[in-house]
Amino acid sequence: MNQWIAVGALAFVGLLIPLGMMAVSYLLRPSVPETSKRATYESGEVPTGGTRIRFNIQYYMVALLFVVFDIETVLLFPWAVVYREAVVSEEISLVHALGPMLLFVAILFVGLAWAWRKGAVEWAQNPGQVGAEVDRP
Amino acid sequence: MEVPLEAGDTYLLPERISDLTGLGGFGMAGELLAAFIAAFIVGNLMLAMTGVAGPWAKRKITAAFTDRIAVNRVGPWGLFIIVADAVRLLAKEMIIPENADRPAYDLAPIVVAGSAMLGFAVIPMGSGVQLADPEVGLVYVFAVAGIASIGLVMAGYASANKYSLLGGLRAIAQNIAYEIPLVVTGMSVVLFAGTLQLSEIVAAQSEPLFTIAGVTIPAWYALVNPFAFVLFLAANFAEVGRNPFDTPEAPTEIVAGYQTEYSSVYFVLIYLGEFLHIFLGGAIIATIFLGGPAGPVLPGIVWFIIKIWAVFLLTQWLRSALPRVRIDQLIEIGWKGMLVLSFANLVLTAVIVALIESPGLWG
Repeated sequence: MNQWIAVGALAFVGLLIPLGMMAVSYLLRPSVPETSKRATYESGEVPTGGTRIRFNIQYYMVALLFVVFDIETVLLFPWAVVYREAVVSEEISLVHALGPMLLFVAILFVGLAWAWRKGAVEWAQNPGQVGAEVDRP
Repeated sequence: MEVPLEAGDTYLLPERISDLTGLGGFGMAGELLAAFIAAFIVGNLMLAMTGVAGPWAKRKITAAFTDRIAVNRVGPWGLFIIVADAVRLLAKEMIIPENADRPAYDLAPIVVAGSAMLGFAVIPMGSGVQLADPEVGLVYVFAVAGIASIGLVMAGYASANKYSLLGGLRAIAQNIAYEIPLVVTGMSVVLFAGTLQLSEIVAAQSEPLFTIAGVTIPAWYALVNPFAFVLFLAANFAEVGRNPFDTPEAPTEIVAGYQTEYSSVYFVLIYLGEFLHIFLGGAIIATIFLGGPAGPVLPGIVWFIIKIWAVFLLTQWLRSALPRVRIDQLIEIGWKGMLVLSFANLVLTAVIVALIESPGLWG
């Protein structure tokens, strides 16, 4: 039996349970439409402005950094699986088993160090950046 | 009907059900039905544990930590409050904010709750309860556990609420910051086991590590590599958004984060999804660090549930004991601390594995 059938079956059950709960709730719950009940919640105040607000650029910076490191982890997994076998067999030297991975990680850490120096992984701006913002005409 | 198992194969739950009920004789339809029955059993087991017992236990545990009594009126130890709560929550009126982005707003709770369930498909729970055992098991678990991030950011964006938007953004920033340390630390376990198949990882942990006073201590990776265990625990708490890393739904800052505008059954589903994620995290920790379902005397599944609940108890302990970190601290801990430490752990583990397995290589 193909194992992925069971995974698919669990995905189906995982859909069925929320949909079932929604159906039960649909039968049970009342509906009392009132004006301004559906207004956006802003701690009881009258909502002001739109909700598509400007937010911190840092969210994009860390997302970009994540893409790089996520691909790295995907590429490292095959190495992790064969590493032990390679070392036990003693057919290749340790330099050949470990070296390329170290080089690969080192290249990405140069990138991280650069991003670190540029302040991409720092949430609060440093005083210099804040000053530049204030001085801007 | 009896197919001899090859080495490394496990007798999975769908096959067991198909053999027991004779469904195997009905070809494809029988296979599908057996898989569905097995999935239904596992799904409802997890639902009973997380959705039903979880919130009740959370109230009891938190109350014990803060010297209160908590629910005790309805039924023994207040257990029947679960039923009352379920009916109360499902019977609430659904209020949908007028600016909500409809398809995304409705889909988000289903994505959050459904994706959390998927991860349990490959977890070996002992006593033969395991739905599937693919060779890429560990990668599969990490992959499906990550789907919830999409659901959270959908919820945050589609609610058209400033608190929700900030909560969704925080959730995604936190999840991606701690995903790398989580996966890389999990990789250091693969270095020891040499496989991604979860049943094989569990089997590798049954070897004896050392013997003290006649008691053989198994080589659980939490004991073999405690540093990786602590890193993985910390990254896992950030990944499921629990204290001290619960910034995405920090009630004192952004009300309830991405779930601010959700009510009625949608709120239940998001809440359920979060609980399922805590238990999925516990299941992953139990599988790759605590020997899976291994344990003396009691059957495997009981040990497995005990281990999951131990991790859950730890999350509730931290919830009562630790303050929340700020969002800037959270990002800096993730990218500057955890990331570097997890790669250091990976390289160190690789060197240790080489030292243990073939001292000859060192000349």
